[in-house]
Parts: sequence; C-alpha cells; structure tokens
Amino acid sequence: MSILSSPFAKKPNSVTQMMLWVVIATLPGLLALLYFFGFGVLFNLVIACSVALITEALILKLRKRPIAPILWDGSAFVTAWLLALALPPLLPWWMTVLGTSFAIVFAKHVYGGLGNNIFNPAMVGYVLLLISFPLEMTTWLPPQELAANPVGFIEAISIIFTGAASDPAIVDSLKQGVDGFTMATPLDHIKTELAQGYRIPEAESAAIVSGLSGVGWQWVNLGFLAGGLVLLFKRIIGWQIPIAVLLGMGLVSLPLFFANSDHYLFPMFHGFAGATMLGAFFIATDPVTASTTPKGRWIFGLGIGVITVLIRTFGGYPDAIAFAVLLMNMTVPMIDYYTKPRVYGHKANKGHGTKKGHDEKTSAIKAKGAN
Amino acid sequence: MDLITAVIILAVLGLIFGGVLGFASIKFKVEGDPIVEQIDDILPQTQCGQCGYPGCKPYAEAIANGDEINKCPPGGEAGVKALADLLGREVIPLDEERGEEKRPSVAYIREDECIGCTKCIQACPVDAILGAPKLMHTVIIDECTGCDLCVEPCPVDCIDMIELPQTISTWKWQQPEQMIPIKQVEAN
Amino acid sequence: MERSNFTSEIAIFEIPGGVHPEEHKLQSNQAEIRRLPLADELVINLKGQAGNRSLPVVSVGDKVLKGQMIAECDGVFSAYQHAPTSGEVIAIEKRTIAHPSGLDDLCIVIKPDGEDTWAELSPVENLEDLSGKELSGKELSREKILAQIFEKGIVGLGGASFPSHIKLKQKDNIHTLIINAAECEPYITCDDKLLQEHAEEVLKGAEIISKLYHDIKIIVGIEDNKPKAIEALDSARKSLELDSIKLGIVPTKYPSGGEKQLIQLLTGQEVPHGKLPADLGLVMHNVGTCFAIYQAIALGKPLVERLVTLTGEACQEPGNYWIPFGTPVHHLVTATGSTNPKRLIMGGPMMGYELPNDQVGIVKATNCIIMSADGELGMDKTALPCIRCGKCMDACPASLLPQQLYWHAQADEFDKAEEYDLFDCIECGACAYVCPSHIPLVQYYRYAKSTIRNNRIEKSKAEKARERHEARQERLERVKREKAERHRKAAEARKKAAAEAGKKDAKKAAVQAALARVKAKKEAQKATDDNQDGES
Repeated sequence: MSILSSPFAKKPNSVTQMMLWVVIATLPGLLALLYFFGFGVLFNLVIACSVALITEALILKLRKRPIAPILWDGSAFVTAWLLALALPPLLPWWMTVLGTSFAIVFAKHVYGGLGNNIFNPAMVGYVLLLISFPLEMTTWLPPQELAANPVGFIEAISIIFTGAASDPAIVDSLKQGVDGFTMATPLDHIKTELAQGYRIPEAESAAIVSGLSGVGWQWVNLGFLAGGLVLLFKRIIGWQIPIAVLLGMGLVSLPLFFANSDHYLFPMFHGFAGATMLGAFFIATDPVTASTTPKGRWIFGLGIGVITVLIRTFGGYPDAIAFAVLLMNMTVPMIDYYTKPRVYGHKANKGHGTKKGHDEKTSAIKAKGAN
Repeated sequence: MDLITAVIILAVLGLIFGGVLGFASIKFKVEGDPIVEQIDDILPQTQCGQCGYPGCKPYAEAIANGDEINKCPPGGEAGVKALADLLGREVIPLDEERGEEKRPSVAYIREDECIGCTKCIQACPVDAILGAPKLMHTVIIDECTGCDLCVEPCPVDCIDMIELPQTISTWKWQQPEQMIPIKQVEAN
Repeated sequence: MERSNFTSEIAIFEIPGGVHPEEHKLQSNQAEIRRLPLADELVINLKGQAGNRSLPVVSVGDKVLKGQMIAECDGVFSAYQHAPTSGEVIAIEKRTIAHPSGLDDLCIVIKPDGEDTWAELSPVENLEDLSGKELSGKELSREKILAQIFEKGIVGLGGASFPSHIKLKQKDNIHTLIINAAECEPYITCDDKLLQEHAEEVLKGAEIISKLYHDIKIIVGIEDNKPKAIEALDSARKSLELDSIKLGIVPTKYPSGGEKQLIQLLTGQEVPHGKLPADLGLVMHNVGTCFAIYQAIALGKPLVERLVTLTGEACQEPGNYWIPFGTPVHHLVTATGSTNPKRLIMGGPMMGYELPNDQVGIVKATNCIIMSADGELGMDKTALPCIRCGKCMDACPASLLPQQLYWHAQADEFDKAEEYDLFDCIECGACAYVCPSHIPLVQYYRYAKSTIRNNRIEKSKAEKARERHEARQERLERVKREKAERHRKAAEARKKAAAEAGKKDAKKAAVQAALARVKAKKEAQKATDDNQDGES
C-alpha cells in the first residue's frame, strides 16, 4: 500500500478552473474588440486555439507524456487565447498559426512544458510575429465608428484566409491602402505624428485619438479592466502585479507629462491605450513566468509598467507590453531569490543562504534532535 | 601621445585590479577540505574493502587519483551520484563485480557455536567484535558497519549477516509517485 | 457555522496565510459525550508518547486493575502507562501501532474482565476546594504536583503527546499560561465538547498549572466557531471566581491552533527560530491536558482514557466518546454502527494520517477518528505540474515559499530545501489544500525532512565507523611498531649476547693458548731435560 500524506481535505479548485476563469474574464474585452474591430478577432481565436491544442498534443506525444490530463489543464488554450486577443483582427491566418505554434513549441515545451518555461509563451509568439512582420502586426482596422466600410463576417474570413475581400467597396479600400481601409492604432498614430515634428495636442486632434485614449481602444481596455477585476475578486490572480504595472506606468509618464505635455502623453492615455489592461491583468499575471514572492510581485509589475512607458515614449515600437513582460520574465529568478519573505521566527531577511545562517540552523536542529 | 596615455591607463588599471585580486585571495581565502577528505566524507565508511582497497580512505585517495566512482556498493546509487556531483563526473551504474547494494545489516554471532578463535576479531575493521581467545565472541551491533569481513574467516561458520529491521525511528516518507516522470529510463 | 458574538478580552493579532476548509464540526458536536461498551481486548502501544518507549512492568498472565501502572518511564523523556481497565495481560508483543508507517511495535494487550475496577487512587491532599485561595498555601509543593503529573502519565493531549512534566519543569521567567482551545482542524470537536460539559474542571486544571508558576496570567485561546464552549468557559469562570482568566477569541482560520500560530495571534510575538515558547515566558497546554491534570491532582486518576471525536460520513453515530486507550479502531467502527468506511483517518483531515488497518489501538494523541465515505475527502486527484501560482505561499502560516521547497524536494536538492527553511514548516497542510495542481506538497516536505534526518544519522554513524577504523589502524600500526621494536631489541640483545659470547671465547682461547704455550714450554723443557739427561 502506498502511504499517502495529509492533508486529506482538498479545496475544490484546479488549474483547469483557473484557466477557464481567465478565459471568461476576457469576455468583456473580447466583446469590445468584436464590436469595434469586427469578426476578425473571432477567427484569430478559433485558429490560434485549435493550432495550440493540436501542437500541444503532438509535442506531448513526442515527449511521451500523458496527453489528455495536460491538454485538459487548459494552459495551451489560454496561451493561444491571449495571443489571439493581442493580434490585429485581419492578420493572415498563417501568421497566427506560426505565432501560436512557435509559442507552444519553443516558449513552452522546449523549457520542459507547463510550469518550467521562463518566458510568457503568448508574448514570445507575439514578439516573434511583431519583429518578423512589423507592417502586418501594426496594421489595425479603424474602429467601427470611423470605418467607411465596416468589415463583415464573410469579408473577414475572406481577407484572413485569402488576403482578398469579396465586397467591391472593400476591395477598393484595400487597394487604396492605409488611409482607406486599415488604420494605425492611436499609439502608433501619435508616435508617427511626433516623429514628424507635431506636438501632442495636434496629434490628438485626429479622429482616432479622440476620447480617453482613442476611439474604440478605451472601451477595449475598459472591458479588460472589468474582466481583470473579476479575476481579482475571484482570487484567480493576485492584486499586486496589475496594480504595480499601472503604478509603474504612472511613475514614469506623470513626471514626463508635467515636464513637457507637448511631447509626452497624459498618464491616463497610457493606461487605456493599446494592450495596457490586457497586459496588466492577463499577461503579466501569468503565474508560471511572473515572480511569486510578495515583494517580487511588486518589483515585477513596476518593472513592466516602467519599461512599457519607456519603450512607448523613447523606443521604436508603438506598444511595448510584450517586450516589457519578456524583459521582466528574465529577471524573475533573481527577483525571487532576493525577495524571500521573512520566515516565522526568523529575524529580518537573513543572508541568502550564507554559511552562517546555515550553520545556525543545522545546529539548532541538532539541538532539537538531541532533546 | 594617445597611445602612451592608453598604455599607461591600462597598466595602472592592471596594477590596481591585480592588487585587489591579490588582496582578495589572501583576505577571503577559502579553507577548503582537500578533495580526498571530501570524497572520504561521502563514502559510507563501512571499511568493507569491496572496492578492492583496504578501506574507505585508500579508495578515496584512489578516486582522487582518477579511479572509477562506482566501486562502492554500500554507498549505492546515491553515493555514486554524490561523488559525481562533487567531482563533476558522469553518473555511472554501480560496478556489478563489486557486489550489489544491500539493505543495511549487521553481523550476528551464534554464540553457542563460537569456539573463541578470535579470527573474526582480527578481521573486523572497526573493532566491533568483543571476545578473547577460547571465550565466546559477540558483535556490538551499534558499532557494526555490516561489512561482511568477519563471515569468511570464521572456521565454524557461526556468523550470520542479519538485515536491520525497519523501525519507527528509521522509517521515512517516500517521495510521492510522480505523474510526469522527471527522468525517462531509456529502453534498450 | 455559527459564530460567537463574544468579544475577545485581549487584543488579537494576525497571522499570515491560513485557509478556511469546510468545518464539518456540526456532525459531531451536537450529541452529548457518551461511552461505548468495552472492547474485547485493549492494545496499549508502549511508544504512545513523544520520546522513549515505556518499559513494561507487568508480565503475561498478570491481573491488573484499572489505573494500575503497567509500564514505566525509560528515562525522563518518556511516560508512565496505566491499565485502562481491569483485566488480564494476555500478551506483550509487536502489533501494528498508530503511526503513518503502519509498522509494528511493542504493545501490551489486556483482556478486560468487564468489572472495570479501579486500583486505589492517590489524589494530592488538601485539594478539596480548588477554587479557593487555599491552593497558594505552602502545603502544595511544586515538586509534589510535578511528581503527580509525572506518575499519572500525563502527556500533551493536543496531538504531539509531549510528556507534560518536561514542559512544566522550566520554572523561571514564565509569565503567561495559554490554554489552547482553538481546535482549528475540521471535523474535530473533542475540545469544544469537553469545554461545553467540563469547563470548570478544565479551568481548575489550568489553575493548578498556574500555581506551579506562582499565579501566572491565564489566557484561553479559542476560535469564534465554538459559541457554546465560550459561554461555558465564561460561566465556569464566574462560578469559580477566576476573573483573572482572559478569553482570547480568535477568528476561525486554519491553522490558528498551531502552538506558534496561537502565540502569534494572542501575543503578536513569534517564537524565535530554534527556541521554545518558554523563551518568551509562555507555556501552552491543551484543554484536554488541563482536564487530565485536574483529574490526576484532585482525584488521583491516571491518564487512562481520553475524549475522542468519532465522525465522518461513514460513521452512523458521530459524536464525542470517552475511549479507553488501546481500544482497537475496528471496535469503534462496529460500536457506532458504521459500515465500510473508505478510509480511516486518525486525527483531522489536515494533519492526521491514514491508519494502515483497523486493528490499531487508540493512543494518547488520538483526538479524532474520521470514518470517511467514498469521495468525502477531496483528495485522490492526479497531480499536475506546478504552475507557480503562489497560492501555497499565500496560504503558508510560516511565510515559507512552498513552491520552492517542493521544487527542491522533488529534485532531492536537500541542502537547497534547507536553505529555504524546510525545517520551519509545521506540516499544517494549508499549501497542499489550496494547490490547484493537486500536488501532495506536504508529502514532499516530509520526504525531504525524514531523508535529511536519516542522512544525518547515517553520517554520524559513518563518522563513528571512520573514527573506530582509524583508531584500529593506528593500534595495528602501533602494535606492529612495538613488535618491530621488540624484535629489534631482541636482535640487539642477541647480538650483544653473541658478541659477549665471542669475547668470552677469545679469553678462553687466550687462556687456552697461554695454557698451551705453558704446556708446550714445559714439554720442551722436559724434552731438553730428558735429552740432557740422556746425554748426560
């Protein structure tokens, strides 16, 4: 008989349940995306998720691991789901396939599968696509209110799979290029304008940048914020990382804004632009690749926030959540090592495994054993 | 001129860093155990000689001089692994010629049959057998390392090796069975 | 479950972590405390306390009376054992004992005669009125009480079975007695029930302990999910006029009843690593222990039975029962009409252990037997990889990093695990309870801890063997040297003797030669003389 250790009671929770909640919590944001940017997102989701599950199953088979229980944990599904939410709606299908399978194979299984990967797989896939296909990856549809010819269901399928639309009007706008059919994101727009020597207030006069952080985008971010709050409330994610990310962004963008509001965006704009809320609540909180200690979570989140604003402001890319997350992923082992919490009965943070602490401990244990 | 400045700067830097390193090597000198001592620490000290050397220390010295690390059956797989870790060598399976890894056991003398020849006493590497010529001998269980060396010399075969029973104080928890094996054993 | 609205009389501090498992206490804390018929035989485990195994003082065939001492202490760190009922000793042999290993150990088996006749009891005198101030009188010497507690086999009844006389020995600088009535584990209600029905005796026991330290402060730490027990304590305190006793009501959260955790909750202090509560001036005893101490001092009753919670969905008559020690668990199962329990767990669902079989006898540490139905406890799930979600860390009351400990324990990196303070883990199980990957974390820690302990023992044994071997080598070397020396000396002596002998020979030869010369001379002379004679 194999001897089982206590505890025998078990909280009725599971990884599958956690992952399911993450997917559910993205729904408000997803709805906003669907409303403003059409059905393309839906196809991205379907393609990404099915590719992720198939790739995962194949790899597990190759690695001679049990397939069903691991597939069922839902982690591959969530990776693909989050990646698809971050992709432009009308991205050609094969790019989605490439990004997703790269994420599963190279960012996850090469490191040993779930729990062993250092980098957030969804963001690895995203960054791969971003640096390989910068044009496609920064080309978004105009939000529904600004679109002359909103893209319908059939058109979306057609564009994603064949690169051509059936509706003549859309074919026309496709031919016209950037101005007619596709459009930059607000962040991208502002970056371009600033580069051309305009000031922020001038750049903000464009239709796409109206409102809190641009038409459509503010609602997408609000949607993800709402979903994130649900996750916080359900205690699926800790509160430290999302708050720290937003705080980190504020810490950099506020002084910049006060120093020169002509050149630097208002912090609120940063908070609701691009992938901020998705990143803060869904990406940065990926348990596998985030820091796990209480202090470490703060450092990790602050780092992401700061790096994001720095790259957005001074770097070459309009948005930077993905880069910031990956950069901070790298530092996690070190953060975790230096932020061990103070253990019950120990004085302040003892030296990290210094010889002295070790000796005291063993001698104390010996003394106890001798009693 | 630039060249000379550069050379001078480099030379000065070299001197400074050299000085710092030299200082550090004296100030923070690590008094490490000599490697033989460290190897000897890992060996189980059964002194059984199954490795072909007359005791653990000589085998430790032999390992330090390049002998294989898999000749110690009492140390078992765990011992080989610890030695491999220490010396940065490959983990290799135990040398079967040297014997198998056995559960801890002790020698037991059937005292009725003992003729008091003292042969076992002379064989015992840790002086764990008590007795005198023509008088019955007995094993001090706590001191016995279970090395087997006393069994062979006994002219009347009155020594048995008895496995130590598992008690509550020696019992330990097993590692839970892992659903996903860490290591997959390659099928030949 | 119902919460008490009694406000705590002392400030309550917070502990980190903790979990809120389903309490399951209503099943067993409704009925009155009962007794079950005696079992056919009682199997008394001689290792039923922390420390050394007791040494039997009876032999097979002896008739014993209830409360008669049947095994004595082996050294100070051990306890006396007494017959739980009158009857005959039918065996002293190895039986399966209450231990997670399922191993055998020495037990005394008693066949009850059904009379349940008490041996003569020897209460400490002058204790008729414990509520009064007489106790402080000089007639009650500290030694006398301690000796009584020692001889009556009292051990901590909270779960660890630590011999009470050792805990009470330290005399100086103790300023507060904490009575642990928190009982934070799910299912268990024996302390709750004991307080509901015997609060006065418990408080009297507590007072006896406080007298040992010259009237130190008494705090009762109790979770707010025991409103009736709190009421009972309050009214007992009033009727005994022990107003100095303070009730510390702590919020229900597992593991608030852990010794270190309750100290933190009630005083805000942490027991420093490697130290004992006594170093903070605190001493803690469980309510059951207080009751047992009262019984031992005032009535002279040795510890022969305890209150045990029998519960679980398979138990048909859940409740709290006075169970004599050694009662086999199968008797408890049949006597409560329980059928086919899926698992038998001794202790609570968080820290108890599964019994290897139902022949095991109840020991002093047994506070609960859970007879669980199929699927009642949420375990038996396949473990998935750790996703580092950190929920274990949030639940850990010792602020450890359970995910790191697990990581190192499963890779056999024991020194790293120790670096992450493995030995500060109290094995409360909060981490494994919340783990969404269903990893049996505590088992990994126990595996690592027990392996480290065994390794240490082996190491010290090897060290001893090495020393003995080296001593032997040295001795052999010395003997060889001495032998060689002897040989050398002997050889020298021989040589000397030989040389000496040679010298003597030379002398002799010289003498001989001289003699020969003389002889020859004489002969020559003689010859010349003869010649001369002949010529002449």
